[in-house]
Amino acid sequence: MRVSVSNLRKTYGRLIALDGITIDLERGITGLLGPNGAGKTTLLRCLATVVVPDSGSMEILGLDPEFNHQRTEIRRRLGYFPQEPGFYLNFTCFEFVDYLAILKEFVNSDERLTEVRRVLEATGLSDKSSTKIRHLSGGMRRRLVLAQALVGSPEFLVLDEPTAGLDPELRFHFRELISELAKSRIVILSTHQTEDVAAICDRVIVLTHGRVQYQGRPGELIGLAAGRVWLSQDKPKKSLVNWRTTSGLYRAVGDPPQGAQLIDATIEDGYLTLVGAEAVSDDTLSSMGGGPTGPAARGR
Amino acid sequence: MAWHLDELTIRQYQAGSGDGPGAMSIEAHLAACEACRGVLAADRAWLDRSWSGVVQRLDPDRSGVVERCLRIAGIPDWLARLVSLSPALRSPFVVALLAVIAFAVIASNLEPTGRSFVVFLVSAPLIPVCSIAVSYASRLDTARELAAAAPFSSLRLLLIRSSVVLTLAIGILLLAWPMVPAPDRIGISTWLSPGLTLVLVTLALASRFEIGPSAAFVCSAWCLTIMTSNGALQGFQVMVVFPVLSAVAIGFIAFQRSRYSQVGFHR
Repeated sequence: MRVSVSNLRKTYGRLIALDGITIDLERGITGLLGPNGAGKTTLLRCLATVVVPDSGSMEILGLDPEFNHQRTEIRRRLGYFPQEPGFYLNFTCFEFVDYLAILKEFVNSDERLTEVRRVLEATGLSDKSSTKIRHLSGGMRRRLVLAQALVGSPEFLVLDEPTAGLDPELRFHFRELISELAKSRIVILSTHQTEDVAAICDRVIVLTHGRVQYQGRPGELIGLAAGRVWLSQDKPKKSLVNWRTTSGLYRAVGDPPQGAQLIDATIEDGYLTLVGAEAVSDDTLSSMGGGPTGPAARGR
Repeated sequence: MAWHLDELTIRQYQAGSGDGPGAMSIEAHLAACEACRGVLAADRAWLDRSWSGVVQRLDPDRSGVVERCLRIAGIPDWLARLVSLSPALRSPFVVALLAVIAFAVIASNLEPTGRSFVVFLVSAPLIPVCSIAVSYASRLDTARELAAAAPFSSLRLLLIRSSVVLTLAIGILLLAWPMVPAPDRIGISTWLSPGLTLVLVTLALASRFEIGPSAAFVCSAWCLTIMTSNGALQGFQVMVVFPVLSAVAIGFIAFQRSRYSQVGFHR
C-alpha cells in the first residue's frame, strides 16, 4: 500500500501551483505544511483525483489516475476531506452522508443504512443524524465531512485542513480519531497547525512555491532549528522571524548572536527555519501569540 | 449467580415447549446470568433479522413522497433516493421555478389580442436550461467537489440530476401552457423541441466549459435566433433542425464522456 507522486506540475494560467513535486506516502499520517499559496490544496486535489495535473505521474495504491477505470477504482478506495467542502444546508446529517454513500456505490439500502450509521457513530454524530446541516456548528460540520470521507473504510485518506477553525477540545478529538484511522491507512493531512504535525504525524512534507522544501520525520524537522532559537530582552535586529512572547521576552529564530540565550527548538522553529519570513503571512504563527516580524516581513 | 439452568430446561426453552411463567422465569435468570446465556445456541440469522426489525421500528424509513412514488414506479431504491435527495427538488428551487413560469404566463397574457404569447415561446425553452445551470453550476452546487471524488460517474450524475430538473421544469410548463393565449397553429412542440435541444447542447458544452457559461452562451444564441426569425419559428426548424442538433449534442456528450469526471478541468 503506497502512494507515489513524481515530478508533478500544475499551473493555473501564469501561476505555477505545483512545480515538479516528487513525494512518497506510506501507511501512517503524513503532514503537509507550507505557507498560503504553497500548493498544498492543489497537491491534495490532484491526489483526490479531482484535478488533473499538467504533467508528471501519480501512482495511488498501485493505480494510475490517468486511466478512467483506474481512476474510478482509486475513488472507491479514497476518502476526501476538501478544504472548502460545501454543504446542502437543507439536508439532514443522515441525508448528506446517505447521498454521498450512494455516490460511493453503496446501492444496497441495508448496507448503506448500516454504513451511514457506522460513520456517524464513529464521528460522534449519531444523535445529530436528523438535524439539518444549517443548524450545525462549524465543528459539527467538519465532523460531518470526516464522516462522509470514512464511508466505505477507504485505504487512502486525503484531509485538507480538517482541524482548521476547531476549538482545542475538538481538535484533540480529531487528532485522536485521525491517528486511530491511520493505523491501517495512508493519511495525508494538510494543516497550518504545526502542533498537529508534532502530535500525530509520522512524516512531514513542507511545500513552498509549489516545491518540496523538506520531506522527513518531524523530529528531523525540529533538528533543523537546533541551536538557532533564542530568547532576548530586546527585539533582535537580525533574525529570520521574531515575536514577543507572553513573558515579555522576544523569541527569535535565525542565526543567533554571540552569547544568545539558546533554547530548545520546537517543530514551529524547524518550519520557520525552512520557510523563514514567508510564514509571516501564514496563520501558523497566529497560534503562538504576538505578531512575528522579520527582515523580509518588514520588506513586504 | 449461585445456580445455573440445567441442560434439559435450556433445551425445552429453546424448543419453546415450556409454559409462559416458566419461560419468563428463565428469561429473568438469563438476563442476569452470562454463563447460561453463553450456553444458549444462538441462531445468528434469526438474531440479525430480529435486530434489523428492532432498528426498523426504532428508526423508521424517513423517505419522502417523491422517493416512495419512484419506488412504487419501479425505480431502483438507490436511484429513487438519489433523485429524491437532489437539491433541485428542495422547496426553494421549486418555488423559484414556479415564480419564473408564473411571470412568463402573466407576461404572455398582457395583450390577449396581440402577440404577447411570444414571451412564453421565447422563455419556455430557456427555463430548463437556466434551471440546470443553477442547480449544477460549480459555485452553486456546493458539494460538487465531494461528489467529484466519488466513484459514481460524474456524467451519470449530471444526467440524472438534469433529468430531475428537466422533468420538473417541463411538467410545470406543460401545466402552464393552457393559460397561454397562443393561436391554435402554435403547439407544444414549438417550445418543447427547442427546449430539449438547448438542454442537450448546454450539457454537451459542459464537457469543455463550466455549465454556467455554457448555459449563458446557449441562451444568448437562442435569443439571437428568435430575434432574427422575427419571433416565429417555422415548422422546418422545429421538426428538423432541433432534432438534428439534439442528435449531434448526444453524440458529442457520448464522445466526451471522460472529460466530465474532472471537477477542476475547466479551471
